[in-house]
Amino acid sequence: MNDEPTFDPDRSRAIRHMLIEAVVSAPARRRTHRVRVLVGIIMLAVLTGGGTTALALAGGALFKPAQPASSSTPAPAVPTATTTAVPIAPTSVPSPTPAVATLPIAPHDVTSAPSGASWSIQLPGSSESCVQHTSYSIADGYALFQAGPKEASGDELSPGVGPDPCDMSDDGVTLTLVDTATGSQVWSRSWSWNGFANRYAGVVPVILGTSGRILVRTVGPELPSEVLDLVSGSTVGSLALDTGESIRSAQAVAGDSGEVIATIETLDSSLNTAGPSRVARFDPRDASHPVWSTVVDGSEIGAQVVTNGFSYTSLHYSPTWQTAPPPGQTPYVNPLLNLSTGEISSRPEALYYDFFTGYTIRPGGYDTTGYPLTLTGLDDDGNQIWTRSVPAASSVVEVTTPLVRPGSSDQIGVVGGSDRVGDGQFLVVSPDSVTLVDGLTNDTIWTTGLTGCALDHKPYSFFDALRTEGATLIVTATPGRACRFDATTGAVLASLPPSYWPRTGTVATYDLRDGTGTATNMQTGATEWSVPSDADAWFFAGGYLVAQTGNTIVGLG
Amino acid sequence: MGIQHVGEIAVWASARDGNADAFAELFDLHRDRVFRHALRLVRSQHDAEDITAAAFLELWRRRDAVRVVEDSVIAWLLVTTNNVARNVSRSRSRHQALIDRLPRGMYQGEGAFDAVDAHIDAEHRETTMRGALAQLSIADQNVITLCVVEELGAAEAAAALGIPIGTVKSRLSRAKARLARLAGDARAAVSTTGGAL
Repeated sequence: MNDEPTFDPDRSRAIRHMLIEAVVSAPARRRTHRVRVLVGIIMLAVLTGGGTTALALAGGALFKPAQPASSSTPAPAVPTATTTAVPIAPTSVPSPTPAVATLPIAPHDVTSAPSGASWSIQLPGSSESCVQHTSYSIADGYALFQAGPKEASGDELSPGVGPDPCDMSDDGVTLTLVDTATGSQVWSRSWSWNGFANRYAGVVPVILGTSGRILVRTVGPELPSEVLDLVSGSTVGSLALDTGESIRSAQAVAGDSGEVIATIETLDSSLNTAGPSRVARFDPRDASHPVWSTVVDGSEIGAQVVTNGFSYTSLHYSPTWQTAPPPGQTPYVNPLLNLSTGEISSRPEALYYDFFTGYTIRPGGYDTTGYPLTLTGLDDDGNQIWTRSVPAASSVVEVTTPLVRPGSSDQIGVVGGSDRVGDGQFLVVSPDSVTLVDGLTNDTIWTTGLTGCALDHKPYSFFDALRTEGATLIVTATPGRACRFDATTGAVLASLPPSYWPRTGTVATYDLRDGTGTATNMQTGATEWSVPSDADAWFFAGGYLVAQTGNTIVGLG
Repeated sequence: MGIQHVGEIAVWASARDGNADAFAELFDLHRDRVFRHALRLVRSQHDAEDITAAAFLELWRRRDAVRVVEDSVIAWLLVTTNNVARNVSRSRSRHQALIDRLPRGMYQGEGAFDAVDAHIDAEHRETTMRGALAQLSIADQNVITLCVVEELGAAEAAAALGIPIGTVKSRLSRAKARLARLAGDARAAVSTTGGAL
């Protein structure tokens, strides 16, 4: 018996592939900006996974409150929907006052080369290169910009010491709400601390659905967690848990309740488990009176983030085994969590959901390589609406539109995945073929072989699928492979240059690379325009294309 | 071309300039060492795998700030592993969105359950040491990692941490004492008497 744990080979392969993807997907850096680490994959830099997940708000049935689930055994439902994809059209309406949108946010294309900045704003906060930047689209024309905390390499961090001149003694975070149509600041709030004393402090904004509030969850000892009013930025409450309790992850509940689903553990000063863990649903202004709270007999609890209106999610945690796990059980478990009641129930196999817009898929029947062989479609109440067998080594990929979910980070979707809203369909990508499926009815719309397509299916490739206005389906795989299909017939269309996950508008993509910003027509592949740019990054914020250089944000159109 | 033929420093240079295959070679080279170190820091194998992934993602993300020591990035990776592990404990990794997309590890077959049993046993043995490590400051943890666990010399550790050699030596002495006190058992005593210094 080997007495040393070994790296799970499937996960190792997947991680290796993910790293390749990260390298391939990152724009080349300009040499003059070697110190700034704010492009490419860094744009994944939502402060923590908790932040990432917390901000992944509902799509499709956007912000639909979780409904009590049926207590009866979910029964197969008769498909009634026809095979129609959601039209791609701007659905958001500019709001005169900040409010989290209830509809997806459409990107505003920049149809001609920007002759200059349409507006420019200097965000408050440190301009040091080690300050981490993130932005979140709140609604059409409104984005929340986060500057900080600082992150520097090395052990001794102070000005003039080491390669990164970063003053960690003056650390903190600034949140600024900006009208990205005009470039005006709506409000700004700052928190500061000594970065040496709180080296791992972080701030995770959790946009609380459409309640008009934001939870500023500060991770670190003796730092506050506050609830802010979105319109004014003022503090309207504080998050207070029991002594020793710490939130491990939090996600907003869809709708206007302002509640969160949080996994909570009790830790001592050395971060060792010192008490029971639990998962709870509560208003962060009144955490002592939760909607429900369920004790979990284990530690390291996480919850898969629900990005649609589904009423359940998958928990994962390490159970408190007294000895080795019973036969057939793994060192960690994936029970089902009812978001309405807090009830936890076990499942016979690893539980994972694909929360797609308007429906949810539960992969199952995993083969020895970890690929699912069956898919089960579920409605928001957890009822089964269809099942489907898929070929070996198939990946399930949601077909998305350029629209993004309100509350999403515009910087997440650089490498695979995205906060884009689905169009109601999904792809089954096998090593030999691509099949387009209606997510509600399970109808196969078309299947086409991969001959003549440079998709280059490999184990654990990460796929992304985008349907453009011209009924073209662009499927991208790593590393840097892309195919185009006629969305109606499945016919393989002429390939475009490999995609590097540029910012996606409705008709064009926008890519900043080597000091040149380029708009490329998604339908034809033609360059619409290109301009030189010294910015660190281009991205959509509140639906508007902006350029960011440190704390300076410039409107591009 | 294998990494042993061209040298790690050349592979790193190529990876840093965007050669994905070169970066994958570095992962192949250092994966197990990073993973083993992560297992010293966290309870579950699953978390250790996630931490390994996050450490390599950090290697890429912060490629302009990586300190190469003795023509290798391993020291930087191990220190980063310490940082990532602490972030996992206190919040979650910045790369969690990516890591969440990885397949869930599944222990399959009888042999796999042997590994599980072994993990549980090893976990019991390592609990004390893990707890002691966790109680050290990150500065102490870094110097213990490099000088005791990985047996690097003081000069290498100093280069990796960006601090003077004298600081490494004095900090190591204090950190060893703290670790022994915290661990409070023979195993800790043995562990803390090792090292290259």
